[in-house]
Amino acid sequence: MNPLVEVRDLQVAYRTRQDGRTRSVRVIDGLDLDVHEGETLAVVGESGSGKSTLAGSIVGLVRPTGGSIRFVGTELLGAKRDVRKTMQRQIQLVFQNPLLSLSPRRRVGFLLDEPLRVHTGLDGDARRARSIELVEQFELSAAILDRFPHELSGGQAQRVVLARALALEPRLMLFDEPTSALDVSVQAGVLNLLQRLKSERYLTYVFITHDLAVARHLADRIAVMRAGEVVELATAAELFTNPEHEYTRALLASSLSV
Amino acid sequence: MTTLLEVDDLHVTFATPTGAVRAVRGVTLDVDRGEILGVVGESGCGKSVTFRALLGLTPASASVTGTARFDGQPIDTDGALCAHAALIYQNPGAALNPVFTIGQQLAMVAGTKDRAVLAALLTQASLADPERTLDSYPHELSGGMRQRAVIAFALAQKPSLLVADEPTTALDVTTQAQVLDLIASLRNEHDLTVVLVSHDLAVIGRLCDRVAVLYCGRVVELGQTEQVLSDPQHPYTRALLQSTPRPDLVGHDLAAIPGLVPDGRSEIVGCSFAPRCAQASKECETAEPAMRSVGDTADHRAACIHVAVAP
Repeated sequence: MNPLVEVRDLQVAYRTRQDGRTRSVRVIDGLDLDVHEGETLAVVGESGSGKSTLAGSIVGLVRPTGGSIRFVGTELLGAKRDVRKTMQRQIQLVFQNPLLSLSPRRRVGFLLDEPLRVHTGLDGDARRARSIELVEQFELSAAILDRFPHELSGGQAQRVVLARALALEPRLMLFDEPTSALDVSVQAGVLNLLQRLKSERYLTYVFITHDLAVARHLADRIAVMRAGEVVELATAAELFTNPEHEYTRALLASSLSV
Repeated sequence: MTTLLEVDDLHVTFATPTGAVRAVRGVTLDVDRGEILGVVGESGCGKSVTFRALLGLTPASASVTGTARFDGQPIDTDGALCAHAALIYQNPGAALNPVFTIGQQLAMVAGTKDRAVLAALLTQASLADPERTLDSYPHELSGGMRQRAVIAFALAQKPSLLVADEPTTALDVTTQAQVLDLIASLRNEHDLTVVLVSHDLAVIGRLCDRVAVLYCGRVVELGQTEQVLSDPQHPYTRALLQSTPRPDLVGHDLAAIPGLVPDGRSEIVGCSFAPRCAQASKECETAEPAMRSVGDTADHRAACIHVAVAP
């Protein structure tokens, strides 16, 4: 069986200016990674290790300088606009801060309607019905459609963002620290919800986090990144009981648990 | 062990256009000399506001009432603590001025331009290469180095109490462990007393001697960290612990706490946690529960009427 996502020899460099000269900083340097259909793959590592750049490259927010990313066998890098749009619908990314993903001037109803309007041929009534169905799946009441983002709690806002990401029924969900801004009591509800959705819809998750306890809780496999490379890739159970790479051991040693 | 700071019935109320918000509703707390006291709770439970009020950092719209004693002497609750205590914040980037070097800023706090003195302060805060750091601007330092610089600023004031408000929340796990170790070693070397405000029970468990659990602007449980984390008595503390991912919960649902922290504008009758509590009964809605000794030892206390009182 082919993997859902195949990343091969991925290279990403950012240009920066320092002392008036343009320099290129390699953030990801020759990264290989497979994501299997139906799994939860956690990507852990410190700030600056390239975790978010990897997610950005897969979803199309970052333009890699080299390598290949295949999604269900189709090359994404350098793909034509229409191919990219079809693929985009199936790959969704959720960020850490839900309020930065929601326009403060639009009501939740509009924000949920937007992806449906762009990507589906549904008429207004059908889209409204779909929005209501969506928020209810996320344990929110339909009244929330008339609210503005600033009227929501952190947990509610993150549920709205998740509902919007899932509105188009993607196959692959990428999460970039989705619960880091939430209290543990709220995080628990969001993590439970993610687990439930995954089993109901046969989704594939790539979960970027610096929180090893969260990674262990959710992930089938864990990729440890450092300085733009995957230094260790193992099943969650194996990684925690038998870490092989020195850096993984250092990470585990400094992580705290209750 | 003697008591360094005693806070009794502290209330902090913010006047807002939509009504008075009661952020702290009667916090009573002792901080023992030389201990590291953890203060934990969800966002909005009043843990930061309590100490900001005591340090005089709440805005003019806040009214602060209650009594406090420092080292046995009564002090004003509206900021007088700042003469004895230093604060370090969650975001070290925001605590530093971007247009001055670390050395220039540290000189202002320390009241001297003597490079040897300033470098020594940075060394105490475990900054490698203090000479170079003195000439660095904040943006040239990593997050961990900035937090160490802020700790050096705090030490320059020679405080007897260090209030660390989520000092490692913005840091990576490896850096977090180093900064927590630094705080622990400073306590020993400088005869410091530390209050560590955090939402992270794992951080509290690693560092603190005692922990106070705040909910809705009140202390609901207080005790030795080990007792509180291994044998939590208040339903809120138990719920917080059960919602935290742990190795033995892999494959199971986590226990989310239903509902939200009540709005600070609302009037609370009875136990503030009752609306979200699985054990709540009729009596919980009538009278506000007082702190009582619970569990096995006298110094483990909780405010819940359903908890067995210590023998």
